Amino acid sequence: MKSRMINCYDYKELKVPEELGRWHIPDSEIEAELEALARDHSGEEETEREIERGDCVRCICIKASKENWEGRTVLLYPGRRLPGAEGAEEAVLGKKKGEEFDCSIKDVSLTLRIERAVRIQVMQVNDALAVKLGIPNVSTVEDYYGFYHEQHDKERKDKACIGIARYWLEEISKRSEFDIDEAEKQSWCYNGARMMYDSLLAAGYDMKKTQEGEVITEEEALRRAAEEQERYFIPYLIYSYFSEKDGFVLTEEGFVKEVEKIAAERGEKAEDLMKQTDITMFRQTKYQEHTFHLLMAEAEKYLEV
Amino acid sequence: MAVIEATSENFDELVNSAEYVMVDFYGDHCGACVGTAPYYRDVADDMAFVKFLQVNTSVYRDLAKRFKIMGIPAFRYFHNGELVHKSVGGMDTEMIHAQLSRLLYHD
Repeated sequence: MKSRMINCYDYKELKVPEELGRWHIPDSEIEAELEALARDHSGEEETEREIERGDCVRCICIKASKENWEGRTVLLYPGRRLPGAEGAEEAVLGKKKGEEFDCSIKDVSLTLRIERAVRIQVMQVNDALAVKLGIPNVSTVEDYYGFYHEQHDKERKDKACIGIARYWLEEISKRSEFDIDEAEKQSWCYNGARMMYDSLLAAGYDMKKTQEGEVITEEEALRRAAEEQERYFIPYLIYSYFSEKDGFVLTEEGFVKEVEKIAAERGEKAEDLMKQTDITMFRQTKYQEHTFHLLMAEAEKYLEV
Repeated sequence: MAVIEATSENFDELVNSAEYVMVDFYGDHCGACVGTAPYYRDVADDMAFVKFLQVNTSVYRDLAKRFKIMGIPAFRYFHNGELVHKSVGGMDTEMIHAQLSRLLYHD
């Protein structure tokens, strides 16, 4: 490749903003998750009492002004104000299981009979909930806190490292020196556009039909897509620089092996997968992954203790 | 009731196991999917008698292909196992209610 980064800005000179180094999970997040889990494990208590807002009501349609409603189960959720059913939600209030009542939903007049009404009984956040979750070695709320940290701490650290890596890459992109061969850049962008066009078409999406309802030519669709690709060119040069500096080079042979491996994992044919990618795009992905891998390892030093 | 994670193996059984079923097709690394998830979860906890499923399209590509999922999050709505409505895009509680209305009260 003729285009390259000729002078990489020394990103280590930068002071990493404090907020990027933060990764600790606050107790409030775990409390919120426990509350959501309590709702997930709520009980549904059938009620014979008068129906109230917040209840869930299952009715059967006895009579309707439109034929295909009769005999159908009609669900009502008083208080939720589902569009078209607001009147029916009001009409069912105060009624009991077994009663019939008239209402309308959208433009349909109905006579409904209440078959069942349930009230959601939300569980409390306590050790009983912790046991109910069925997580090995979790039988108290405190155990759950430990479990949550086990599950999520690493991912939060990684996310913070990605944030620092992105910050560095942005600065590298702005402050480094690049030697760009324009013809090569145009060809690279067109290649990416063509891959995107063909992949989307194979998936049933035609880029000649724009979101605004316009119909454009294939040439115009590719031109627009190539323009979109331009913003990925400098990052690609940066990823190539870091990868090659680290001795990571994706050869044709390496590319074929990777595609075969991915095809095997997905249970697809390698030849089919080959049609959906090419070495340039694949290299872009791999070099990006490798660069992030390198920068994330360095970024760990900047995380809060 | 909690949202149920569906797989290629149990999808049809789940869709046919309740009269009214809503399915969230989501993917890894999708911001709008992450944004919608807590609202979807809350609605699922609040509304008995409807089954709420979710399908990870990054894992179950066959289901994404079968239902022609082009953008995520995408939602499909089933009444007695038949697809009666679809929608796409992130939603909050009110928007989910509006879409559920089109499932529960369809013609």
